[in-house]
Amino acid sequence: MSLPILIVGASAAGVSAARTLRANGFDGQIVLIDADPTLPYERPPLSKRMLEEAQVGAADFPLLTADQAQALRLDLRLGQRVERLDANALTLTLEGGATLAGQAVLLATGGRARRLPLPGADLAGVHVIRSFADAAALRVEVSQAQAVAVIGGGLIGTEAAVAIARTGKRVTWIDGAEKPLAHIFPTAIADHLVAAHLAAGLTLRVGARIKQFVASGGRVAGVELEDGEVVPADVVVLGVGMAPEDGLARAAGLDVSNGVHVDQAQRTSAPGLFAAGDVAAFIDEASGLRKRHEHWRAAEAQGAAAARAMMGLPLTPPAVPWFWSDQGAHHVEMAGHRTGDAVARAGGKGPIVFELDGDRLACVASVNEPNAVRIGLRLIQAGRPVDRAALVDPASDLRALLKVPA
Amino acid sequence: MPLIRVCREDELAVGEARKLAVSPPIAVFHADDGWFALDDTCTHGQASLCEGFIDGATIECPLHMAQFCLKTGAALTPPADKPVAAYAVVIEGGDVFVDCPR
Repeated sequence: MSLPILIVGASAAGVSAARTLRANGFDGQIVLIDADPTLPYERPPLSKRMLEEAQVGAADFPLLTADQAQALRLDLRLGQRVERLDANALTLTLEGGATLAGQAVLLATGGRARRLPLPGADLAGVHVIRSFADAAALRVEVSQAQAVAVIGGGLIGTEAAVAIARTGKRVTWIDGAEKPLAHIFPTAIADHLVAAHLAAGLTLRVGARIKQFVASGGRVAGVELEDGEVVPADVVVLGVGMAPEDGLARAAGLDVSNGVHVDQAQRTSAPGLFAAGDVAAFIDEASGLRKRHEHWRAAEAQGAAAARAMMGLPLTPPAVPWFWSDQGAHHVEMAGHRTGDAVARAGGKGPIVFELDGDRLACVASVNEPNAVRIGLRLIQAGRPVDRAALVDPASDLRALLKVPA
Repeated sequence: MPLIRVCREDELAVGEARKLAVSPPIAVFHADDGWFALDDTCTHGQASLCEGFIDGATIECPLHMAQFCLKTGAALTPPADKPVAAYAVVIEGGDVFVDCPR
Protein backbone atom coordinates (compact mmCIF):
# COMPACT_ATOMS: atom_id res chain seq x y z
CA MET A 1 0.00 0.00 0.00
CA SER A 2 1.34 3.41 -0.91
CA LEU A 3 2.19 5.99 1.70
CA PRO A 4 -0.27 8.75 2.68
CA ILE A 5 -0.08 12.41 1.83
CA LEU A 6 0.63 14.31 5.04
CA ILE A 7 -0.81 17.81 5.47
CA VAL A 8 0.37 19.85 8.43
CA GLY A 9 -2.17 22.57 9.16
CA ALA A 10 -5.95 22.26 8.81
CA SER A 11 -6.80 25.82 7.89
CA ALA A 12 -7.55 27.42 4.49
CA ALA A 13 -4.49 26.08 2.63
CA GLY A 14 -4.40 22.60 4.15
CA VAL A 15 -8.11 21.92 3.81
CA SER A 16 -8.11 23.25 0.25
CA ALA A 17 -5.27 20.85 -0.58
CA ALA A 18 -7.18 17.89 0.87
CA ARG A 19 -10.33 18.81 -1.08
CA THR A 20 -8.37 19.32 -4.30
CA LEU A 21 -6.64 15.94 -3.95
CA ARG A 22 -10.00 14.18 -3.68
CA ALA A 23 -11.62 16.32 -6.39
CA ASN A 24 -8.87 15.19 -8.77
CA GLY A 25 -9.25 11.54 -7.89
CA PHE A 26 -6.46 10.94 -5.38
CA ASP A 27 -7.56 7.71 -3.75
CA GLY A 28 -4.82 7.18 -1.15
CA GLN A 29 -4.76 8.09 2.51
CA ILE A 30 -4.70 11.77 3.48
CA VAL A 31 -3.60 12.68 6.99
CA LEU A 32 -4.54 16.21 8.06
CA ILE A 33 -2.83 17.31 11.26
CA ASP A 34 -3.32 20.44 13.34
CA ALA A 35 -2.25 21.44 16.83
CA ASP A 36 -5.56 23.30 17.19
CA PRO A 37 -8.09 20.96 18.83
CA THR A 38 -11.11 22.71 17.28
CA LEU A 39 -12.68 21.28 14.11
CA PRO A 40 -11.31 23.32 11.19
CA TYR A 41 -12.91 26.76 11.07
CA GLU A 42 -12.70 29.86 8.93
CA ARG A 43 -10.31 32.45 10.39
CA PRO A 44 -11.72 35.64 8.80
CA PRO A 45 -14.70 35.82 11.22
CA LEU A 46 -12.38 35.76 14.26
CA SER A 47 -11.70 39.49 14.02
CA LYS A 48 -15.26 40.38 12.99
CA ARG A 49 -18.43 38.39 13.69
CA MET A 50 -16.87 36.40 16.51
CA LEU A 51 -16.16 39.60 18.46
CA GLU A 52 -19.53 41.19 17.75
CA GLU A 53 -21.84 38.28 18.55
CA ALA A 54 -21.67 36.72 22.00
CA GLN A 55 -23.17 33.34 21.08
CA VAL A 56 -21.24 32.59 17.89
CA GLY A 57 -18.83 29.65 17.96
CA ALA A 58 -16.41 27.96 15.59
CA ALA A 59 -19.19 25.63 14.42
CA ASP A 60 -20.96 28.71 13.03
CA PHE A 61 -18.16 29.28 10.51
CA PRO A 62 -16.85 25.81 9.72
CA LEU A 63 -14.11 25.30 7.18
CA LEU A 64 -14.51 21.53 7.32
CA THR A 65 -17.26 19.73 9.21
CA ALA A 66 -16.87 16.23 10.67
CA ASP A 67 -19.28 14.94 8.01
CA GLN A 68 -17.25 16.54 5.25
CA ALA A 69 -14.01 15.14 6.65
CA GLN A 70 -15.59 11.71 6.67
CA ALA A 71 -16.95 12.07 3.15
CA LEU A 72 -13.46 13.08 1.99
CA ARG A 73 -12.00 10.09 3.90
CA LEU A 74 -9.55 12.32 5.79
CA ASP A 75 -7.52 10.99 8.68
CA LEU A 76 -8.02 14.09 10.81
CA ARG A 77 -5.54 14.47 13.69
CA LEU A 78 -6.61 17.51 15.67
CA GLY A 79 -4.88 18.73 18.81
CA GLN A 80 -1.65 17.06 17.68
CA ARG A 81 1.53 19.06 17.34
CA VAL A 82 4.20 18.10 14.84
CA GLU A 83 7.56 18.24 16.58
CA ARG A 84 9.90 17.34 13.77
CA LEU A 85 10.08 17.05 10.02
CA ASP A 86 12.65 14.87 8.28
CA ALA A 87 12.96 16.30 4.77
CA ASN A 88 14.88 13.35 3.34
CA ALA A 89 12.74 10.56 4.74
CA LEU A 90 9.48 12.60 4.43
CA THR A 91 8.52 11.73 7.96
CA LEU A 92 6.82 13.71 10.70
CA THR A 93 7.34 13.12 14.39
CA LEU A 94 4.30 14.01 16.45
CA GLU A 95 4.21 15.22 20.01
CA GLY A 96 4.45 12.04 22.07
CA GLY A 97 6.86 10.40 19.64
CA ALA A 98 4.66 8.78 16.98
CA THR A 99 6.16 8.94 13.49
CA LEU A 100 4.27 9.23 10.22
CA ALA A 101 5.83 8.59 6.81
CA GLY A 102 4.36 10.15 3.69
CA GLN A 103 4.78 10.07 -0.08
CA ALA A 104 4.52 13.87 0.07
CA VAL A 105 4.20 16.46 2.84
CA LEU A 106 2.44 19.82 2.70
CA LEU A 107 3.43 22.45 5.24
CA ALA A 108 0.36 24.64 5.71
CA THR A 109 1.34 25.75 9.17
CA GLY A 110 0.26 29.37 8.80
CA GLY A 111 1.70 31.86 11.23
CA ARG A 112 1.61 33.19 14.73
CA ALA A 113 0.44 36.64 15.76
CA ARG A 114 3.30 38.96 16.60
CA ARG A 115 3.52 40.42 20.06
CA LEU A 116 5.49 43.55 20.94
CA PRO A 117 8.94 43.38 22.58
CA LEU A 118 7.91 45.93 25.18
CA PRO A 119 7.57 45.88 28.96
CA GLY A 120 4.17 44.52 29.94
CA ALA A 121 3.33 42.94 26.57
CA ASP A 122 2.76 39.61 28.34
CA LEU A 123 0.39 41.01 30.98
CA ALA A 124 -3.00 39.43 31.47
CA GLY A 125 -5.48 41.33 29.35
CA VAL A 126 -3.13 41.76 26.38
CA HIS A 127 -4.50 39.69 23.50
CA VAL A 128 -3.70 38.64 19.96
CA ILE A 129 -6.13 37.16 17.42
CA ARG A 130 -5.03 34.12 15.47
CA SER A 131 -6.98 31.10 16.68
CA PHE A 132 -10.55 30.48 17.73
CA ALA A 133 -9.35 30.15 21.32
CA ASP A 134 -7.68 33.57 21.05
CA ALA A 135 -10.87 35.21 19.82
CA ALA A 136 -13.04 33.41 22.39
CA ALA A 137 -10.78 34.52 25.26
CA LEU A 138 -10.72 38.08 23.95
CA ARG A 139 -14.50 38.19 23.61
CA VAL A 140 -15.00 37.13 27.23
CA GLU A 141 -12.64 39.81 28.51
CA VAL A 142 -14.07 42.50 26.24
CA SER A 143 -17.55 41.83 27.58
CA GLN A 144 -16.34 42.86 31.04
CA ALA A 145 -14.01 45.66 29.92
CA GLN A 146 -14.33 49.34 30.73
CA ALA A 147 -12.01 50.51 27.97
CA VAL A 148 -10.31 48.66 25.15
CA ALA A 149 -7.17 49.66 23.22
CA VAL A 150 -6.49 48.11 19.82
CA ILE A 151 -2.98 48.50 18.49
CA GLY A 152 -2.44 48.32 14.75
CA GLY A 153 -3.76 50.03 11.66
CA GLY A 154 -3.73 46.96 9.41
CA LEU A 155 -6.66 44.71 8.58
CA ILE A 156 -6.83 42.69 11.81
CA GLY A 157 -6.40 45.75 14.04
CA THR A 158 -8.98 47.73 12.13
CA GLU A 159 -11.52 44.93 11.95
CA ALA A 160 -11.14 44.16 15.65
CA ALA A 161 -11.36 47.83 16.69
CA VAL A 162 -14.52 48.32 14.64
CA ALA A 163 -16.12 45.05 15.78
CA ILE A 164 -15.44 45.72 19.47
CA ALA A 165 -16.73 49.29 19.19
CA ARG A 166 -19.93 47.91 17.68
CA THR A 167 -20.56 46.01 20.91
CA GLY A 168 -20.78 49.38 22.64
CA LYS A 169 -17.33 49.39 24.22
CA ARG A 170 -15.09 52.43 24.32
CA VAL A 171 -12.21 51.71 21.93
CA THR A 172 -8.98 53.63 21.40
CA TRP A 173 -7.34 52.64 18.12
CA ILE A 174 -3.59 53.16 18.20
CA ASP A 175 -1.37 53.14 15.12
CA GLY A 176 2.35 53.80 14.74
CA ALA A 177 1.78 55.20 11.26
CA GLU A 178 0.26 58.57 10.47
CA LYS A 179 -2.81 56.99 8.89
CA PRO A 180 -4.24 53.52 9.44
CA LEU A 181 -4.75 51.31 6.37
CA ALA A 182 -2.72 53.69 4.16
CA HIS A 183 0.06 51.13 3.78
CA ILE A 184 -2.47 48.73 2.23
CA PHE A 185 -5.03 50.72 0.27
CA PRO A 186 -5.05 53.70 -2.11
CA THR A 187 -5.39 56.96 -0.15
CA ALA A 188 -9.02 57.58 -1.07
CA ILE A 189 -10.01 54.14 0.24
CA ALA A 190 -8.02 54.46 3.49
CA ASP A 191 -9.36 57.99 4.07
CA HIS A 192 -12.93 56.88 3.54
CA LEU A 193 -12.64 53.93 5.93
CA VAL A 194 -10.83 55.83 8.68
CA ALA A 195 -13.35 58.69 8.51
CA ALA A 196 -16.22 56.21 8.75
CA HIS A 197 -14.68 54.45 11.75
CA LEU A 198 -14.08 57.73 13.56
CA ALA A 199 -17.65 58.80 12.84
CA ALA A 200 -18.78 55.49 14.37
CA GLY A 201 -17.07 56.43 17.62
CA LEU A 202 -13.53 55.07 17.56
CA THR A 203 -10.89 57.26 19.19
CA LEU A 204 -7.69 57.28 17.14
CA ARG A 205 -4.06 57.89 18.10
CA VAL A 206 -1.71 58.04 15.11
CA GLY A 207 2.05 58.29 14.93
CA ALA A 208 2.02 56.60 18.32
CA ARG A 209 5.20 55.18 19.82
CA ILE A 210 4.36 52.73 22.56
CA LYS A 211 6.65 52.81 25.58
CA GLN A 212 5.09 50.10 27.69
CA PHE A 213 1.94 48.48 28.96
CA VAL A 214 1.12 49.64 32.47
CA ALA A 215 -0.24 47.21 35.01
CA SER A 216 -2.66 47.35 37.89
CA GLY A 217 -3.53 44.41 40.10
CA GLY A 218 -1.57 41.99 37.95
CA ARG A 219 -3.21 42.84 34.64
CA VAL A 220 -2.98 45.50 31.99
CA ALA A 221 -4.45 48.88 32.87
CA GLY A 222 -3.25 51.07 30.05
CA VAL A 223 -0.94 51.73 27.12
CA GLU A 224 1.78 54.29 27.81
CA LEU A 225 2.96 56.22 24.77
CA GLU A 226 6.39 57.82 24.35
CA ASP A 227 4.82 61.30 24.60
CA GLY A 228 3.68 60.46 28.13
CA GLU A 229 0.01 59.85 27.43
CA VAL A 230 -1.43 56.76 29.07
CA VAL A 231 -4.40 55.38 27.16
CA PRO A 232 -6.52 53.63 29.79
CA ALA A 233 -7.37 50.08 28.76
CA ASP A 234 -8.21 46.99 30.76
CA VAL A 235 -8.14 44.97 27.56
CA VAL A 236 -5.54 45.46 24.83
CA VAL A 237 -5.59 43.84 21.38
CA LEU A 238 -2.37 43.57 19.40
CA GLY A 239 -2.99 43.62 15.65
CA VAL A 240 0.64 44.09 14.72
CA GLY A 241 1.13 41.47 12.07
CA MET A 242 2.13 37.85 11.94
CA ALA A 243 5.26 35.79 11.59
CA PRO A 244 5.29 32.63 9.49
CA GLU A 245 5.25 29.36 11.43
CA ASP A 246 8.29 28.06 9.58
CA GLY A 247 10.20 26.44 12.44
CA LEU A 248 9.68 22.85 11.24
CA ALA A 249 11.00 23.70 7.79
CA ARG A 250 13.91 25.69 9.18
CA ALA A 251 14.95 22.86 11.49
CA ALA A 252 14.67 20.42 8.58
CA GLY A 253 17.16 22.49 6.57
CA LEU A 254 14.80 23.81 3.89
CA ASP A 255 15.38 27.21 2.31
CA VAL A 256 13.58 29.60 4.66
CA SER A 257 13.63 33.36 5.10
CA ASN A 258 10.48 35.00 6.41
CA GLY A 259 8.59 31.95 5.19
CA VAL A 260 9.33 28.67 3.45
CA HIS A 261 10.65 29.25 -0.06
CA VAL A 262 8.42 27.78 -2.75
CA ASP A 263 8.23 27.83 -6.53
CA GLN A 264 5.09 28.38 -8.63
CA ALA A 265 3.95 24.82 -7.91
CA GLN A 266 4.40 25.35 -4.13
CA ARG A 267 7.44 23.05 -4.13
CA THR A 268 9.99 23.76 -1.40
CA SER A 269 13.72 23.23 -1.80
CA ALA A 270 13.27 19.55 -0.79
CA PRO A 271 11.68 16.97 -3.13
CA GLY A 272 8.23 15.82 -2.05
CA LEU A 273 7.86 18.71 0.35
CA PHE A 274 5.41 21.50 -0.39
CA ALA A 275 4.30 24.64 1.43
CA ALA A 276 1.17 26.78 1.02
CA GLY A 277 -0.67 29.63 2.66
CA ASP A 278 0.65 32.21 5.13
CA VAL A 279 3.86 30.23 5.65
CA ALA A 280 4.86 30.04 1.97
CA ALA A 281 7.21 32.62 0.46
CA PHE A 282 7.03 32.77 -3.34
CA ILE A 283 8.65 35.00 -5.94
CA ASP A 284 6.18 37.77 -6.76
CA GLU A 285 6.12 38.22 -10.54
CA ALA A 286 5.37 41.93 -10.45
CA SER A 287 8.27 42.89 -8.16
CA GLY A 288 10.65 39.93 -8.43
CA LEU A 289 10.74 39.85 -4.63
CA ARG A 290 10.00 36.95 -2.34
CA LYS A 291 6.65 37.56 -0.65
CA ARG A 292 3.98 35.90 1.36
CA HIS A 293 0.26 36.50 0.82
CA GLU A 294 -1.47 36.65 4.17
CA HIS A 295 -4.93 36.34 2.70
CA TRP A 296 -7.64 33.72 2.59
CA ARG A 297 -7.96 33.36 -1.15
CA ALA A 298 -4.21 33.06 -1.67
CA ALA A 299 -4.06 30.30 0.93
CA GLU A 300 -6.93 28.47 -0.68
CA ALA A 301 -5.39 28.77 -4.18
CA GLN A 302 -1.92 27.77 -3.01
CA GLY A 303 -3.25 24.72 -1.18
CA ALA A 304 -5.03 23.66 -4.36
CA ALA A 305 -1.90 24.29 -6.43
CA ALA A 306 0.20 22.16 -4.08
CA ALA A 307 -2.32 19.32 -4.33
CA ARG A 308 -2.23 19.48 -8.12
CA ALA A 309 1.56 19.49 -8.12
CA MET A 310 1.64 16.43 -5.82
CA MET A 311 -0.53 14.60 -8.35
CA GLY A 312 1.60 15.70 -11.30
CA LEU A 313 -1.20 17.81 -12.77
CA PRO A 314 -0.30 20.91 -14.83
CA LEU A 315 0.02 24.30 -13.19
CA THR A 316 -3.01 26.54 -13.35
CA PRO A 317 -2.29 30.17 -14.26
CA PRO A 318 -1.66 32.27 -11.15
CA ALA A 319 -4.74 34.15 -10.00
CA VAL A 320 -4.69 37.92 -9.65
CA PRO A 321 -4.21 38.64 -5.93
CA TRP A 322 -7.51 39.58 -4.30
CA PHE A 323 -8.67 40.02 -0.74
CA TRP A 324 -11.51 41.49 1.23
CA SER A 325 -11.96 43.05 4.63
CA ASP A 326 -15.28 43.57 6.40
CA GLN A 327 -15.17 46.56 8.73
CA GLY A 328 -18.60 47.05 10.24
CA ALA A 329 -20.91 47.87 7.32
CA HIS A 330 -17.94 48.61 5.07
CA HIS A 331 -16.95 45.83 2.70
CA VAL A 332 -13.61 46.66 1.14
CA GLU A 333 -11.90 44.68 -1.60
CA MET A 334 -8.68 45.08 -3.51
CA ALA A 335 -7.26 43.15 -6.46
CA GLY A 336 -3.92 43.32 -8.26
CA HIS A 337 -0.68 45.12 -7.47
CA ARG A 338 -0.39 48.74 -6.34
CA THR A 339 1.38 51.16 -8.69
CA GLY A 340 0.39 54.52 -7.17
CA ASP A 341 -0.87 55.82 -10.54
CA ALA A 342 -4.39 56.17 -9.17
CA VAL A 343 -7.62 57.39 -10.71
CA ALA A 344 -10.92 57.54 -8.84
CA ARG A 345 -14.34 56.77 -10.24
CA ALA A 346 -17.17 58.78 -8.72
CA GLY A 347 -20.80 57.84 -8.34
CA GLY A 348 -20.46 54.61 -6.38
CA LYS A 349 -21.89 53.65 -3.00
CA GLY A 350 -18.33 54.08 -1.78
CA PRO A 351 -15.00 55.06 -3.32
CA ILE A 352 -13.69 53.14 -6.33
CA VAL A 353 -10.00 53.53 -7.19
CA PHE A 354 -8.10 52.13 -10.15
CA GLU A 355 -4.32 52.12 -10.40
CA LEU A 356 -2.64 51.79 -13.77
CA ASP A 357 0.67 50.54 -15.06
CA GLY A 358 0.99 52.52 -18.28
CA ASP A 359 -2.13 51.70 -20.28
CA ARG A 360 -2.89 48.49 -18.35
CA LEU A 361 -4.96 48.20 -15.23
CA ALA A 362 -2.81 46.98 -12.33
CA CYS A 363 -4.98 47.39 -9.26
CA VAL A 364 -8.56 48.10 -8.25
CA ALA A 365 -10.03 48.75 -4.83
CA SER A 366 -13.44 49.77 -3.55
CA VAL A 367 -15.61 50.14 -0.52
CA ASN A 368 -19.10 48.62 -0.95
CA GLU A 369 -18.73 48.41 -4.75
CA PRO A 370 -17.47 44.84 -5.09
CA ASN A 371 -18.58 44.45 -8.70
CA ALA A 372 -16.24 47.25 -9.77
CA VAL A 373 -13.42 45.18 -8.25
CA ARG A 374 -14.64 41.97 -9.91
CA ILE A 375 -14.67 43.72 -13.30
CA GLY A 376 -11.28 45.28 -12.60
CA LEU A 377 -9.87 41.91 -11.57
CA ARG A 378 -10.91 40.44 -14.92
CA LEU A 379 -9.43 43.43 -16.76
CA ILE A 380 -6.14 42.93 -14.90
CA GLN A 381 -6.20 39.22 -15.75
CA ALA A 382 -6.87 39.98 -19.43
CA GLY A 383 -3.90 42.33 -19.53
CA ARG A 384 -5.32 44.40 -22.38
CA PRO A 385 -4.93 48.19 -22.59
CA VAL A 386 -7.81 49.97 -20.88
CA ASP A 387 -9.34 53.36 -21.53
CA ARG A 388 -8.51 55.53 -18.52
CA ALA A 389 -11.38 57.91 -19.29
CA ALA A 390 -13.88 55.05 -19.33
CA LEU A 391 -12.64 53.83 -15.94
CA VAL A 392 -13.19 57.26 -14.41
CA ASP A 393 -16.42 58.35 -16.09
CA PRO A 394 -19.33 57.39 -13.79
CA ALA A 395 -21.62 57.33 -16.82
CA SER A 396 -19.56 54.70 -18.64
CA ASP A 397 -20.47 51.02 -18.37
CA LEU A 398 -17.56 49.27 -16.67
CA ARG A 399 -18.88 45.90 -17.74
CA ALA A 400 -18.58 46.91 -21.38
CA LEU A 401 -14.80 47.11 -20.92
CA LEU A 402 -14.74 43.34 -20.52
CA LYS A 403 -15.94 42.79 -24.09
CA VAL A 404 -12.99 41.80 -26.22
CA PRO A 405 -12.54 44.48 -28.90
CA ALA A 406 -13.34 43.19 -32.38
CA MET B 1 -46.64 26.04 -8.79
CA PRO B 2 -47.47 29.72 -9.11
CA LEU B 3 -45.65 31.90 -11.60
CA ILE B 4 -44.46 35.15 -10.07
CA ARG B 5 -43.92 38.05 -12.43
CA VAL B 6 -40.45 39.61 -12.14
CA CYS B 7 -40.31 42.37 -14.77
CA ARG B 8 -40.53 43.05 -18.46
CA GLU B 9 -37.83 41.34 -20.52
CA ASP B 10 -36.31 44.67 -21.55
CA GLU B 11 -36.26 46.07 -18.01
CA LEU B 12 -33.02 44.33 -16.97
CA ALA B 13 -29.89 44.50 -19.10
CA VAL B 14 -27.52 41.55 -19.36
CA GLY B 15 -25.48 41.55 -16.16
CA GLU B 16 -28.32 42.85 -14.03
CA ALA B 17 -30.42 41.07 -11.45
CA ARG B 18 -33.52 41.64 -9.39
CA LYS B 19 -34.55 40.36 -5.99
CA LEU B 20 -38.00 38.88 -5.45
CA ALA B 21 -39.33 39.72 -2.01
CA VAL B 22 -40.58 36.21 -1.25
CA SER B 23 -39.38 34.46 1.87
CA PRO B 24 -36.60 33.49 1.64
CA PRO B 25 -35.84 35.83 -1.26
CA ILE B 26 -35.13 34.68 -4.82
CA ALA B 27 -32.71 36.43 -7.17
CA VAL B 28 -33.44 36.61 -10.89
CA PHE B 29 -30.46 37.13 -13.19
CA HIS B 30 -30.21 38.28 -16.78
CA ALA B 31 -27.03 36.59 -18.05
CA ASP B 32 -25.48 36.23 -21.49
CA ASP B 33 -27.19 32.86 -21.87
CA GLY B 34 -30.62 33.97 -20.75
CA TRP B 35 -32.57 34.28 -17.51
CA PHE B 36 -31.95 32.32 -14.32
CA ALA B 37 -33.35 32.26 -10.80
CA LEU B 38 -31.66 31.11 -7.60
CA ASP B 39 -32.18 31.53 -3.89
CA ASP B 40 -30.77 34.98 -3.21
CA THR B 41 -28.83 34.28 -0.01
CA CYS B 42 -25.29 32.95 -0.34
CA THR B 43 -24.88 29.66 1.53
CA HIS B 44 -21.53 30.82 2.93
CA GLY B 45 -22.24 34.22 4.42
CA GLN B 46 -25.39 36.28 4.42
CA ALA B 47 -24.78 38.13 1.18
CA SER B 48 -27.43 38.86 -1.43
CA LEU B 49 -26.47 37.14 -4.68
CA CYS B 50 -28.50 39.57 -6.78
CA GLU B 51 -25.83 42.12 -5.89
CA GLY B 52 -23.11 39.79 -7.16
CA PHE B 53 -21.20 39.69 -10.40
CA ILE B 54 -22.70 37.76 -13.31
CA ASP B 55 -19.94 36.14 -15.37
CA GLY B 56 -21.11 33.85 -18.15
CA ALA B 57 -23.15 31.10 -16.53
CA THR B 58 -21.98 31.86 -12.99
CA ILE B 59 -22.88 34.31 -10.26
CA GLU B 60 -20.06 35.46 -7.99
CA CYS B 61 -21.01 36.39 -4.44
CA PRO B 62 -20.48 40.11 -3.72
CA LEU B 63 -18.83 39.42 -0.35
CA HIS B 64 -16.31 36.60 -0.54
CA MET B 65 -16.23 35.53 -4.18
CA ALA B 66 -17.91 32.14 -3.92
CA GLN B 67 -19.29 31.21 -7.35
CA PHE B 68 -22.55 29.41 -8.05
CA CYS B 69 -23.81 27.88 -11.29
CA LEU B 70 -26.71 29.98 -12.57
CA LYS B 71 -28.35 26.93 -14.14
CA THR B 72 -28.18 24.48 -11.23
CA GLY B 73 -27.28 26.55 -8.16
CA ALA B 74 -24.25 24.31 -7.53
CA ALA B 75 -21.45 25.84 -5.44
CA LEU B 76 -18.50 26.00 -7.83
CA THR B 77 -15.77 27.59 -5.72
CA PRO B 78 -14.95 28.09 -2.05
CA PRO B 79 -15.73 29.53 0.40
CA ALA B 80 -19.22 28.15 -0.38
CA ASP B 81 -19.68 24.40 -0.39
CA LYS B 82 -23.47 24.11 -0.31
CA PRO B 83 -25.68 24.78 -3.35
CA VAL B 84 -28.46 27.34 -3.57
CA ALA B 85 -31.84 26.23 -4.92
CA ALA B 86 -32.53 26.94 -8.59
CA TYR B 87 -35.93 27.81 -10.09
CA ALA B 88 -37.33 27.73 -13.59
CA VAL B 89 -37.76 31.03 -15.40
CA VAL B 90 -40.55 31.43 -17.94
CA ILE B 91 -40.74 34.20 -20.55
CA GLU B 92 -44.28 34.92 -21.75
CA GLY B 93 -45.39 37.81 -23.89
CA GLY B 94 -42.28 39.84 -23.08
CA ASP B 95 -42.66 39.32 -19.33
CA VAL B 96 -40.30 37.36 -17.09
CA PHE B 97 -41.79 34.94 -14.54
CA VAL B 98 -40.27 32.63 -11.95
CA ASP B 99 -41.85 29.30 -11.20
CA CYS B 100 -41.93 29.79 -7.47
CA PRO B 101 -42.80 27.21 -4.82
CA ARG B 102 -43.71 29.87 -2.26
